[in-house]
Amino acid sequence: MEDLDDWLRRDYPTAYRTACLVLRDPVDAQDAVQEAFLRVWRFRDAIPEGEGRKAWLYRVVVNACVSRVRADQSRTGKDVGDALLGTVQDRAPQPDERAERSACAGAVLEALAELPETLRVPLVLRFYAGLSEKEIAVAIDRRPGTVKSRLYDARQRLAADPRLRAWAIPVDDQEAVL
Amino acid sequence: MLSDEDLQRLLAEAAGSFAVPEPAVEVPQVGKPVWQRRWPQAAAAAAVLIVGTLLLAPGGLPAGSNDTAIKRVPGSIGDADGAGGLSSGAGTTGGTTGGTTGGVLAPVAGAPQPVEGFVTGPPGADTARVVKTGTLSLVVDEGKVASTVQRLQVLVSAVRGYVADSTSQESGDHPSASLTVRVPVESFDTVRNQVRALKVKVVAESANGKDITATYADTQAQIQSLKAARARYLTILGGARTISETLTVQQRVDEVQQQIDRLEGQRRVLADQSDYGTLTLTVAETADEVFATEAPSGWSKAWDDAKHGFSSGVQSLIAGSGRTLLVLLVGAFLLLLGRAGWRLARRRLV
Repeated sequence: MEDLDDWLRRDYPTAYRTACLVLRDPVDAQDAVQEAFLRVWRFRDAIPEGEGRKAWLYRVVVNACVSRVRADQSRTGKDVGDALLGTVQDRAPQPDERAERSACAGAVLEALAELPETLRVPLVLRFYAGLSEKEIAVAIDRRPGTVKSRLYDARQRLAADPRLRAWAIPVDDQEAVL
Repeated sequence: MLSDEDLQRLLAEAAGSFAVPEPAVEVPQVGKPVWQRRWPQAAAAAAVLIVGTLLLAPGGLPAGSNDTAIKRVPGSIGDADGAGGLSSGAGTTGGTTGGTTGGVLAPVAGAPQPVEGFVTGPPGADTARVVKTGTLSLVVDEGKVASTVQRLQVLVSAVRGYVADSTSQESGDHPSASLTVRVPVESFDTVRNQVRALKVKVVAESANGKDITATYADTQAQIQSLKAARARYLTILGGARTISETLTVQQRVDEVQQQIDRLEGQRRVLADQSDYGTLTLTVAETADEVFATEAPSGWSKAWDDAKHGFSSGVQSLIAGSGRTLLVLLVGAFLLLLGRAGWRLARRRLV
């Protein structure tokens, strides 16, 4: 069985950045990942072997992120679901943070912020963490068909977002446009 | 429509804008098979050491769990070598269980104390720890109690021991004294031999050994395990971000620290008991005074009580007989006197 310490060292950056994309707040993301690792350590005997291992670990990370989002919503009195948008917008990066990030990254983060949690999480897991649809289904505890549907919706929304159109085209064409 | 490659590139760009901090949580090594963990190896090594020590000890494994002997010794005052069947207490270090531990004595002020955290003590203490206790009852010449006590104190100080308790009764017809001394365990038998070499009569002696090696090793292993757990919790505590995490982990740290403190106290007591032997010395001018401190029990107490009651009754009868005899004599005298007077009066009347 792979050692937890090895997993921590190898997957911590990806897990942390996944949480950052979901939560859009580095401090909250670090809290969520730490909480996830503590949960993994506490329930280490339940970690499955083989291919299900990665999905199980990201399920813990996702749950920690969602718990943090909902705890914040309960404190601010906002509803779960699409109302997440307002919460996320409250976490918009400060000017100095925005300056540090590239324009592309800023555009992507703003576009992600406007996605509801139910679409943002599978999108990040699929295209950043590299989980398959089957693994995402395990991670978010939904059927694979639901995952496929949510991924389709998420892609439609991002494709319709004007902030991403300039970054979606190939670099050569981008230079031609500029 | 965004392609998969576009989405991957864009999300990677966005994720790359977040600098990854060092993981604050250091997950301990877990999930190793039993044979790869350290505690079974440590337990097996400790068991081998204990069994090997017992087998290699002089005389091998003792037949009994404890060697304790109390024997009254014939001899006269000035019997320097104490010959006559003294129980030397040989083999007491091989004892495993039972026997009196001697308890924890409060050291007197100024007495040398075992060094804090001093663990190893005498040679071989890492593998064998034995609590040694003993008594010596001494009878000395008249007027020599105080000087004998002083010589005993000098003798104990010479081996870096100390007097833990001292009582003396110098007034009255039968002065006596009692000393409880702590001496380094490696000098325990030496001190007993030196006491016997004094010009005193040893009327009773006892020696006792109790092996606490297993208890000591177990306590030390628990402490090491808890310290490792405390280090892990402190690592986790260092990375705690929320108040609830901090409080939860801090509570665990406090609990572990309390357990460590409690076990450290036990370990220090065990170390002190096994580093220093406890010897109780009784000095008196008569053997009765020496044994007056002993508290018989059971059949011996009943027999002693019966003997004492019988002798007391005879003494009471003898003591009372004198008065009774005097009363009888006075009564007989008065009777004779009255009879003579009666006879004289009757002659005058006739």
